[in-house]
Amino acid sequence: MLGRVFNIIKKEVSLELRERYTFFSSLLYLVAITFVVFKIFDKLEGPTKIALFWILLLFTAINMIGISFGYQTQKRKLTYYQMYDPQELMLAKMLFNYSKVFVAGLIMMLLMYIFSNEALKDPILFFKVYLLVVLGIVIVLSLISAISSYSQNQSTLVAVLSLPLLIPILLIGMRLSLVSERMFSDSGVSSYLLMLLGIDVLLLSLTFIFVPIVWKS
Amino acid sequence: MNLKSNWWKLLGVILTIYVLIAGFKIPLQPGILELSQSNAVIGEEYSTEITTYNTFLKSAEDLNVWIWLPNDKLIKAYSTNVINETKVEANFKLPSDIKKQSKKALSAKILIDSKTEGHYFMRQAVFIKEGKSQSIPYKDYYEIDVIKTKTRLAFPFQHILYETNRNTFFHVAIWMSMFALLLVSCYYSLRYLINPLHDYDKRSSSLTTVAIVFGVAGLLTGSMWAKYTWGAFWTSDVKLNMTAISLLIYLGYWILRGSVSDIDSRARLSSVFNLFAFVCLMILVMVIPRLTDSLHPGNGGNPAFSTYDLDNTMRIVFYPAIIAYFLIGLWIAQLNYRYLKVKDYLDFEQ
Amino acid sequence: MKSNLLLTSFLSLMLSTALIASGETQDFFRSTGKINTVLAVVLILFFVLLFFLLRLDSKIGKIEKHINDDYKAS
Repeated sequence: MLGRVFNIIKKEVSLELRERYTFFSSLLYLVAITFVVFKIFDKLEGPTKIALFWILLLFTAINMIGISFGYQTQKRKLTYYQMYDPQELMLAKMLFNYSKVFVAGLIMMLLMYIFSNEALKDPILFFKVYLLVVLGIVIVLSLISAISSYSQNQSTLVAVLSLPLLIPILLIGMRLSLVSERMFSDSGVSSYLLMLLGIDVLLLSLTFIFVPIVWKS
Repeated sequence: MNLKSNWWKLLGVILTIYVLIAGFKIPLQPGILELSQSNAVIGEEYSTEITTYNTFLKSAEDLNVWIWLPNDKLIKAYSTNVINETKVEANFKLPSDIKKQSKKALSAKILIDSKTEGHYFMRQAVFIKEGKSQSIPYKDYYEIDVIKTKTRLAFPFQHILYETNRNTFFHVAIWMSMFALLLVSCYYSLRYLINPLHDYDKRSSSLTTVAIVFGVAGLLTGSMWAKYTWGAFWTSDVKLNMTAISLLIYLGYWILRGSVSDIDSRARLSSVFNLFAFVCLMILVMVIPRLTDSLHPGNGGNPAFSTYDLDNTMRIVFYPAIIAYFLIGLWIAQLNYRYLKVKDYLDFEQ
Repeated sequence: MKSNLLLTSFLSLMLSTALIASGETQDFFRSTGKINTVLAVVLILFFVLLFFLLRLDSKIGKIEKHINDDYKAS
């Protein structure tokens, strides 16, 4: 199974390489929007910085993942449908999307560091939170993308459907990253991390249950 | 109408009538609104004018006013003077040996009891400070067990809320029944996924519609209530925002239904989204209140909902209210479902 | 149509009484232990449900008209 998943990822990567401009346009969007936000606020610090980080990352992720189940042609969709098991396809897409969003987030952190000129105060905690929140975002967005691939206006639908669903993950992530930036202290950090992990696992298992149903048509 | 299969509609109507009557007719417990003088000094005399709410002090028998110290000892007023139905003047002699735990002023409750109206009290009513005078000698304190009067069947009196306490039966209950409706809707979504009959999808979508309508009602009523307790139509309160988020989720559900044109995939996708959204909503409901303080009782600074706010008298109206709105919601959803069925049949005929 | 007319007249009546009342005493919703807030909440609840039922009513009316037309045509 892992071999087949790996195969799909390879295929995805080659497709992505052929259409490099989509990934780079997302990155450019990220850089541009970070720069605009920096110019508007003039100084990035405190909770604003953290909040903007998550919001911008979320929008970039919607940009990147939202269309990941959209296919330019009906033919390609049919090919995928005949060739792969939906769960394997989903897993491969998730891994691929995860790495994309992960890289985008790293670039954004770098940009934030350059603009605000202050390093992360507790990098280990921040990275733990970052890994888990990005995982949650990727899971929800992948499923919603698969669901809305049947509709005509996919990109809007993805944003509308996924934003409210992502609020709990984002709020926990926000709180934990504020703790990691020493904005306020909280004794229950590990329980929040566990909660985040629990949510991720729950959503992941739901996604794997639902994907075959969504995929058949 | 066949009563055998429609008994739940009748039950819903009866319960709604019961909720309306009981919710309005059961009186509020008497309470204390304010004290004219809230600072007292140890070892000196202390007299205050107490304004009460919902009382008939002139006809009260055995009226007694007490200061209720934090260590559950009571000091009795040596004389009380009823001014009118809702005003009483009480005079205390504060013994010089009131123990003080800390340097801060000691905050005590004021308790009034009478044979006719039972007992009622106000928290943090009197602030007792250290004094120099030693004129009042040692005096016996009363234990809390002296208060034997029973309270009658009445809703608890709460500050700021007053009569709006009754909104629990209308605002909170409609919100709870919204969740119950969503749960039933999820049940039909699940049944659709197991056995794809469009009947289940119609039931599920009508239930979700009614739940959204209930959610809107909950939001509007909550906003009305918030205006006259917290002073603003919209606060950053968690539960209010949670309702808003759940509404956003389910409006998304409608947009999804609208934007997929194929009937089969629409039913399938919306069922999946319905289940997924409900799980996300449950996560939201469980997680968010832990993150922030709420103005709602049971979270943050307010007294706990279960211990003080929602006492047994409230419960005998609150739980029937949830069931009543739930049944009424089911009824409306069933009407909508029947409409969809007939419409489908007519479309099929043409 | 008839029901809509009824509704609008009833609504305007409600609104005007509320306005007059709030004009007379500045704190209409805070008077007598804020009981009027409870009244407003119940009314809001009622009107939201009424609105939904009226919509359903008009939708059913539409297909009913459809059936009547079919009946006449045949």
